Amino acid sequence: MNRRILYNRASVDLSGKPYLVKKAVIYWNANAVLPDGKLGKWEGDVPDGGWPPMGNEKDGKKPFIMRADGVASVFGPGLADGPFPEHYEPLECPIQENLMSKQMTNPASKKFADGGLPEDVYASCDTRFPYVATTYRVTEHWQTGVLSRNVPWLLELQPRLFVEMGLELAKEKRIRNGDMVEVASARGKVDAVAIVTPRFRPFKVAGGTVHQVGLPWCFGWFTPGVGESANLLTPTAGDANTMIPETKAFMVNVKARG
Amino acid sequence: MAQVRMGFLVDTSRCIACRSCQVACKAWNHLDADKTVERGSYENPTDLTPNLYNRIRFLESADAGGNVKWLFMNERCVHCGDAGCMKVCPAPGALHRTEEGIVVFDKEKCISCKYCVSACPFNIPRYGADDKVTKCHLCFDRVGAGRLPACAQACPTQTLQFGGRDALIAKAKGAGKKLYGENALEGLGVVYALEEKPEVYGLPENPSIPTSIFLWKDVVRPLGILGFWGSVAAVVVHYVTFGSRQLEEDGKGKGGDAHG
Repeated sequence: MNRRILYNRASVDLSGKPYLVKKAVIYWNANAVLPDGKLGKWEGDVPDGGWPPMGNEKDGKKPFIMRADGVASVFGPGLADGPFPEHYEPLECPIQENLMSKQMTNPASKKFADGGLPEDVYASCDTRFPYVATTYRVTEHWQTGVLSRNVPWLLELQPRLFVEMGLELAKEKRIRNGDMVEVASARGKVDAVAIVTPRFRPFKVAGGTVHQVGLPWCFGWFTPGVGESANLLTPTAGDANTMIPETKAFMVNVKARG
Repeated sequence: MAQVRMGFLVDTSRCIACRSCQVACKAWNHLDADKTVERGSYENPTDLTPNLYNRIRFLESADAGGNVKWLFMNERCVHCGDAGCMKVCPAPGALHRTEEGIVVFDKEKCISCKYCVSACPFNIPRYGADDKVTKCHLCFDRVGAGRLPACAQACPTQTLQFGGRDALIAKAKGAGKKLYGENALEGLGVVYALEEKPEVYGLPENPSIPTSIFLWKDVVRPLGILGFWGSVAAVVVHYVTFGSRQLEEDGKGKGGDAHG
């Protein structure tokens, strides 16, 4: 739907008249005759939901159409993990307890570990995987890179999988900028070129130092020479409401490839 | 036709290093991709190539407190007002200036001498497999048709601002920007608003055409030309004044017909 403003029917009163006529976004033209003979249509922006104004008892609908109760709210119904925001630790996590509450992880999140598949295992507070990893996009490639990483011009800009890490971690692991390193999680491992950068700095978490590394997830899959997909590392856990996988915080190990 | 000098104002503070400019340039100019390797930096390719007329330099630094600066700069031909490449080029028309002030190349006329490489203060011209000069020509074909250069068209942040040079400079100065290249070499066609000193970006503080080029083009060559035509003139003057040389044997003979 090509509306300019989300929930734009919230700017009109029960009869469809804009609250601020001078800056009207949308209004109900009750006299317009539609091709099927019915009366009334929205003018201005494309309505976010084409029902008649709310004064119409039978067909009117509240404007916040993507909310369970149709109204704006800071906290409200419709979320699987309750109306109030709460801090949970990621499924894979470098610390033993959630400092904010007794509940460690989101109890409503979707997990797949019961299936017994090797790609569905998790390793929290596991000394084999001491570093936090996160995956992200790069400007040069689109999503998984299927559309962009076979375009030579774009591959020229970002040619293969890399892993970014801070100076401290690189020193500790004897990794130099441009070295090939192995990044491994409980689920898989990939080879990536190290980008050692001051942009990554260790966290101080619960009295200890936690290092973070980052990888793009746009490589892999049939494009020769680009390395494998960082999605081989990420956990198969789904957000409680959207099923978005937990790719922004999981645990890995890195080591220089001899 | 009196024409306003056109040029770029590159506001480096706005650049997000998306490198749309690099790709748009290749698309418009039908340039092949270069095979690159990841060597521990977002910057790629590592230098201008015959297939790459402009690129973004990534300059990353951190102070002792860990505050990171990530500077981006668009590297390209800056279309000098006093262009060393044009000055030194011995092939007429191989490097010439359009009425908009853009320094363009013509591969058909290039004789592959590579003098322009040594004469450029910014290390810009490149020679490809065909051994002919290439560099940014500011999309003179598009500009001539009243359109923006491809890179400027693709730039999403208005880092690359194209237009009348004087107007762009006045606007940037009005906004309190420090400019690089406003006056150097009779004014660069690509003026930079930098966030740091020029040296940080690898730009020469006072760009100048190498002295040898200046000596050749502005001193030796004029002298040589003067010497050549001077000699010719002297011969003519001598002929007019004294006539053609008479051989002794010809005696009283009256010029060339003696041997007739």
